[in-house]
Amino acid sequence: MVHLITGGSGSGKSEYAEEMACRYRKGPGEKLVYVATMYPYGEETKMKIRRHRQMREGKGFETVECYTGLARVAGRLEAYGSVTVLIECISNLVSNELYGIPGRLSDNSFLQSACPALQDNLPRNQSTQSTVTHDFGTDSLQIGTHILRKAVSGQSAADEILRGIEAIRRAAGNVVVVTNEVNSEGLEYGPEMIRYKQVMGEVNCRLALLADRVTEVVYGIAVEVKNRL
Amino acid sequence: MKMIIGGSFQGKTQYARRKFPRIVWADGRDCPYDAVRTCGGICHLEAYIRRAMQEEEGEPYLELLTGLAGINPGIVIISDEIGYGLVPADSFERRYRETVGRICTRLASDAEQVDRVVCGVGTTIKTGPGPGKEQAVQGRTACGE
Repeated sequence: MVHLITGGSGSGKSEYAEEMACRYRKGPGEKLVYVATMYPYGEETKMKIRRHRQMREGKGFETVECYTGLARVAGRLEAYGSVTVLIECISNLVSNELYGIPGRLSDNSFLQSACPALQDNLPRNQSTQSTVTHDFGTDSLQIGTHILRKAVSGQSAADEILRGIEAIRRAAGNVVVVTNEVNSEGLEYGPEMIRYKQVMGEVNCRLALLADRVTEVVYGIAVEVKNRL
Repeated sequence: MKMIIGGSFQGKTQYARRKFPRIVWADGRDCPYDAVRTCGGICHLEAYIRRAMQEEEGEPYLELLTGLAGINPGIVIISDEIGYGLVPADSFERRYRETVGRICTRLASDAEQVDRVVCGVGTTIKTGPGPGKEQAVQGRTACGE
């Protein structure tokens, strides 16, 4: 079963998603896995990660960090047997798939100048304080040219993420996926930002299609979009 | 406490005026900070929050807002819903939309009713006390009705 949860920034969707994942879990015997996709770079992002960690504390989640190539998480899950998975968040995965994991990119200044607003999703320094449980991203992107090649195909980024979600769905009983509503502000953006929004839009549509349930969280209130459970 | 939220220029104020014709409204864009303690309703809470973040005397009111249900339990709050775009490049803007999100989530949790207005049409997305999770949509009311 896939439950897709969307909402704006600061809408309380993470807290809701955690609550749902805990509810779907069949009991303490079942593993509860949190797939974290935000690469820890810069103070702001690290604070965000700390906040989320505090929120999850005591709820029984095992954290798996995965920045790109989501499908590899599925292989790991198969060993767990019964498992409920929470993946957060698609907006980071799209940016990681499109632009690579910063820090492994030899020079990403061209990206920062092309799309300054994406800097939030572009790690600038290799993190030295990693608390990775299992890093599935290590071997995925090693050299700048590979990342640059990736950066030209939004289609492959979308396909990669969908492939990952489908693989995880096959391996896990219940999958809760958090995404982000980034397409409802009509500001002027550069071509790179438009492309990012386009890929986000496509991924969200395809995820909603395969999801059994879709919920939009509005300031902490769950608004049902689709439910075939 | 009640809340009316939605994107900008969706007819929230008109919707609210029709729904609560007797209320005297404070305007978050220029009202004194203390107005939230006593006013019947406030529009543009998102502008109030922005001012409070930018002005020194406004700072304590950010904290006050999170407990507003206890201070002014009858208040009707109108706010733009923000945070539905890409992460802003400017760090203040990032902090701003995060702050509006956190405050509005808290207010919505304390409110006994939350209406969301799209194209002038209001939908009640929460009734009753508590966080309002798992609520089905209660019905729609056009602002002209």
